[in-house]
Amino acid sequence: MNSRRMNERLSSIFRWLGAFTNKSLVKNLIVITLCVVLFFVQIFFPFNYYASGERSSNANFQVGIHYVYEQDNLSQIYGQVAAIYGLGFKVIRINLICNPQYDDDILNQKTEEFFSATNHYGIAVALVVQNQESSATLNYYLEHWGRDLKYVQIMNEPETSTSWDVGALFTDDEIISDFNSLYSIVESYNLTAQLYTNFGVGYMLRSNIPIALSQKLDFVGLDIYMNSFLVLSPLFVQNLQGITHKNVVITEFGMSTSNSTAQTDFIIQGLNLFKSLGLKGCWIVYWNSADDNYGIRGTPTQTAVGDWIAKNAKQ
Amino acid sequence: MQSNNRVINHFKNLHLIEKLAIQGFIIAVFLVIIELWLNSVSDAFMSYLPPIGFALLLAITYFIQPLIIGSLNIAIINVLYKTKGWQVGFWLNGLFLLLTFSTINLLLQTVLQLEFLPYVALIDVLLFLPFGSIARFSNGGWKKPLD
Repeated sequence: MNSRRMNERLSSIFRWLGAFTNKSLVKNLIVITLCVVLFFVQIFFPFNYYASGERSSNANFQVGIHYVYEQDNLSQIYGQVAAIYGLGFKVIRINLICNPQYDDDILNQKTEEFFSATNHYGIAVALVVQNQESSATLNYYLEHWGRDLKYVQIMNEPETSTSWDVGALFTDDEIISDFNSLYSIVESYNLTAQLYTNFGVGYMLRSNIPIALSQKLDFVGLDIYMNSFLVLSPLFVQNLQGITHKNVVITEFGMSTSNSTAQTDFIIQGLNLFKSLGLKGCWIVYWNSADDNYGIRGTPTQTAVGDWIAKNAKQ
Repeated sequence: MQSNNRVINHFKNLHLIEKLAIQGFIIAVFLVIIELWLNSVSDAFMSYLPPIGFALLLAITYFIQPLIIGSLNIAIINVLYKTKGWQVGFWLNGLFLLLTFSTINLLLQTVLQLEFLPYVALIDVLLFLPFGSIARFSNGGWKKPLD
């Protein structure tokens, strides 16, 4: 008897619900609300999914770091490379530093010292060739140290760079022709190095650039700064992979802050996320940085990253 | 005209579950076809007179596609359920169906690491009954014609 009454009540509730939601205004409101919910699911679900646990067992996850050795003394460089190696970093990313006019210049000595250390420890080196690098400098560098490179980055975030003054964005034609000039110089040395170009999140507005450049590259880099873009990074990675059909490596990842707890949390969260995403690697900026607070050298972040590598990415 | 009416009358006499299945199947197949087409032409769009091509791609994806899906959905509803008019606008209804479809795809691709073709596309089509229910719920018409 009770169950019959319960059924009647339930069916009357459903009838009322059906009639209520069948009103145009109510239906519109429900559909709009569901659209908003679905939009947020699409934005936040991938990050929460990948950040909530280890989704990929990528034992060869490669943690790298950008070392600005030109800011250190000559005598420091070897020891710093040893320290970086000791922490478990597998790649050191560097700027193109040399003086083609004078062989004994201190810059050349520093570069020589740097490569003697990386060759000794067997650590891979990624060279950043800036957007407006001169052919003379690039030729000199590759002649002397080209064979020591594992990765060569041709141009840096070309989609957001300026051509002749602040605010004067490179046009697509400038980017592609400059890229081709630098690419042909690098190619002429028949290096074993893999070639890549990195992009900031701004590539979304100029997607044709990664599509065009990636045809000559082995992989593409994505640079992630700020928490908001870290949250969106799974979507960017998926999109960049989709349009370039190349593997994505996080080539710049860091936070400029004097709050080392915030910096540590940000970097560790990112490393967990990128490993979970199944990416090949993540390169942190920077080891040292005189002009800002990106550098992790000598901070609690250095220890935390070393511990993370020991636990998660040591071969 | 007579034969058309016979077909339409046959549809109207189907059971609710059959109507939902037909509606879901048509919507799901249509969404899969558009998704495949957009995937195949997205590179060409993005390389066409940048950034105009990218803007066109966004317009097709989030304006024209929802309009078409929304119109298709209400057309199916009007045929199957003998209704007239619509309760939710074409674009909003189409956007809702598109977001539902793309969210399901995102979940499948993220959690199960499946490629869109053939796995996710096949699952989408196999989900025709839930799709039909969602499509039916998200819009409707009236038995009496509107003035």
